[in-house]
Amino acid sequence: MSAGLEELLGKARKAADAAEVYWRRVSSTPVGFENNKLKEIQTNATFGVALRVIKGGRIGFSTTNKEGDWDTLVDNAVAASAYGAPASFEFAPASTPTGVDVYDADVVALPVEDMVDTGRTIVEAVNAADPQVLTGVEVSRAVREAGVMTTPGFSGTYRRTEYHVFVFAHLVEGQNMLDVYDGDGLTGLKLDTKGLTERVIHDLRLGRTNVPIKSGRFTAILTPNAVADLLGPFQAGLDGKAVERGISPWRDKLGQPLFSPSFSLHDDTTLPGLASSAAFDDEGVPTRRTALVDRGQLVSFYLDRRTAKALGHKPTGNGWRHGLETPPAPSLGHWVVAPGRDSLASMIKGVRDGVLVDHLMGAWAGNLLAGEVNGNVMLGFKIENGELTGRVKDCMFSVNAFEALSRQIIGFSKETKHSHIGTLPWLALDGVTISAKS
Amino acid sequence: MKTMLTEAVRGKDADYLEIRLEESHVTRILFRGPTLDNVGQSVVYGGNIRALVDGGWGFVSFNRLEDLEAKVDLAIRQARLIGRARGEQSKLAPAPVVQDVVKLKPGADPREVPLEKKMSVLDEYNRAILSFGGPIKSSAVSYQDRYSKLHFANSEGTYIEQEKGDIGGNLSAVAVQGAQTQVSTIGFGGSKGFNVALGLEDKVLAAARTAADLIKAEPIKGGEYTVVTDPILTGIFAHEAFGHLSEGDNVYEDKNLQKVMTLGTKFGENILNIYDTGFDEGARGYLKYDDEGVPTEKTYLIKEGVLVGRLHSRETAGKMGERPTGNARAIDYRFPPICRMRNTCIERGEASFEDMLKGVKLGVYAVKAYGGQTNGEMFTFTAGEAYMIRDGRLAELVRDVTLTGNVFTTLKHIDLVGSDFETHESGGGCGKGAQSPLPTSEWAPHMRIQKVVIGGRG
Repeated sequence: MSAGLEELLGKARKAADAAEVYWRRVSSTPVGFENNKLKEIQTNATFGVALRVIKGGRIGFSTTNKEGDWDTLVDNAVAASAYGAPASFEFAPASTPTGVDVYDADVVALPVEDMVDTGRTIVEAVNAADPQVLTGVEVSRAVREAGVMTTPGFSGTYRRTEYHVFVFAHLVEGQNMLDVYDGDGLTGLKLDTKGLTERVIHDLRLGRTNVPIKSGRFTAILTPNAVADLLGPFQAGLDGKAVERGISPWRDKLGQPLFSPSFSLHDDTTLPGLASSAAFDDEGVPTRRTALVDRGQLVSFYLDRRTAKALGHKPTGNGWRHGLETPPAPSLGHWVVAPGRDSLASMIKGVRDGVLVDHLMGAWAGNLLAGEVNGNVMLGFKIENGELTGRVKDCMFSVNAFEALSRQIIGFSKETKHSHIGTLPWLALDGVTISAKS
Repeated sequence: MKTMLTEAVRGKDADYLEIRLEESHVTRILFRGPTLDNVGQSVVYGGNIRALVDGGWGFVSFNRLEDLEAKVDLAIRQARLIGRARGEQSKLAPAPVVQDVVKLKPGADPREVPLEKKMSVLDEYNRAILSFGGPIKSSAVSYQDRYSKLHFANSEGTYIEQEKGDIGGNLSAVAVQGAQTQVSTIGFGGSKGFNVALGLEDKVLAAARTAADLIKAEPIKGGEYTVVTDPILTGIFAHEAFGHLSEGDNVYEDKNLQKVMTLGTKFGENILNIYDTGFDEGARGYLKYDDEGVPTEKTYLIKEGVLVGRLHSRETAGKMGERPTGNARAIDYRFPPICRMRNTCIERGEASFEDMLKGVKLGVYAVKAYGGQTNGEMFTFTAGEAYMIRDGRLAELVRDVTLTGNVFTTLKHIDLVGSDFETHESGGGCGKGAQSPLPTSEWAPHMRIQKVVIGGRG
């Protein structure tokens, strides 16, 4: 950490009653392929500081990317504090956080040429399987350094490496379009790009044939991507802010058995090797594993310092920032849904007439707090007599997530996969509504 | 500054070079229920260099202005590495060489309004929602304003200094009863100063009333309906269903899509006219120059049902042998410009609202939107509120209305376009790739669409 940030904390201490400095320095190098061709290499080096102060019992917040312009930063935070929220909580107390393993020197040393090769190998494999497909790949490596310093004495920093591969395959045939995409991110280089490529090719092959579907109720197997959409209402309803505001449907339901005993959900940002892991959250609370739903029973919300205080709980280490320019707020870290016993293959085998749903479009825009998940089936497949027979499209998928996870579960798969919200299994549900053209 | 930037990109060994610098001042205010969640002020400061060599792009972004020359060299080296692999000629559509300084008009700079005033205006809306009573148990009031000063120089001699102002906000009433939660939101925004945030009291109360009514509403039964969309949803439709498909970067290297999107193809009835414009002063999508320094324009996408244009950057226009339209935009200095919309509009038609309801035995009047998404061929959006149409008349309020469809067939199913036209602005913005939210606008009239699929468990 540079002496400049100590100086900033000193200035803030003088101007206010308490202060918290959060900083991050990220250097990232994405290599991009577009339409089967190498397109762009970027080098991004960004630095930013966020300052929270407490003055006269109120919070003020400001941020800057101008390194060294501490006077403006402090003045802006102090000016905001005149109108700020009452300071109902304290900044992180003195402690020395211990880290999790999130740094891999191999990522830093990875030559750009190797990243180009990785991308090219994927493009060529997809192209060989289907020459009509246009493939995009992003291979990126990054080093993120971040730290929190507070006037009560907390001082912590961590360094994390991140390696991401994302594949996007696009096929246009007349007015029929097929998009298949998949990706993964780790703190090291041991990413299964071959498996990733094979999954994309598999779905492209299967998605080439459209099969009809009629409106009705079906058995649906949700892939981890679709399970992530199904958990949107949980992200909304378990958020400490929603609970504090009294709009969460579970505001007074802690400890109750609300869901099927086969459903367990926890948040874990201590897992080694994952790009979502860190030693502490963005306001200096040590990260941990927090059970949210345990065998159907609601056991915890996810909380930052402020909402924890307001609800009379302990913070759960979920005070993350959405970008530099907003203060920490309760945010999911890395969600893990407990896997089941059945293999995915046997789950599919067991379906006589149903759908496998992978990507939903627009499911985030529904009334999440009421549990509603409605999405256009952007990528989904028909299951007939235990076989995947082709792609279903031009239809809507609708479930109520709360009902689905209490009464409609057939089973979770034993296999799990990383999705954008965490590590999730496949899930078979009974009685899912599909609306199609008549 | 001008000398430093123009010197940095002059006479280098690249087919094209540009440098962009930004300093923005952002104010954010957020109330959630009675609690003030955040009031904060940010200084956003940084820049980037983009180099083109033999069809390959290098891009370097930074927060420190030091060592510009080394950064330019790095961008060129990256571009060359790609250029070698592509082995093609760089192709950028010609753009005029511009020297210009664009200042904000008096009153358009959000920094002129003291924080105290902003706080008191928003606080009052928040109180109005919370004191509404009945099932209204909470609120969300968000506001953001941004003043930006941008410097742009390229290797062709263009140098532009541009000031921009942007304001956006959302006022939401949240009704709760038992396990039911319903939200109704009004958005506002503009590029011409703080006045757009004033005088919304009636709309705020109407939103609270809607949220309270939605609690009692039944979910819609899924199926195929005739749908009348209000101007806000019509605008979202224009943006989601056709705007994104018209973005040149989707088309320029995709031969199959080029066939579908051949200029001159008939996509809808003669009543359908869609355009995207940077000219509407006051709109969030107002723009004099895009982030490649190209002057913006009014670009027709569909004229009398026929495809006539698309939204281009210099590269996509160059590769397709078309003209750049001033649609290359970046949300900030951390990103290269890509093809984006400005103010996307469906032009006023001739039908009255009564014409639209006439003869509809069972339909849906869909009003406002939570949000929408598209993958090019299919779209979806969720209505903020919706009413059944029964035997040509508006009937009961229904909830959980998500519309979906195939873009191409839906365009053909637009059978009436309204004679009204609303200059509505939303508080959020558009997302594409990692770049979100970008200020855009959607102005439109009422519209009627046949055979729209609505999802639902009812």
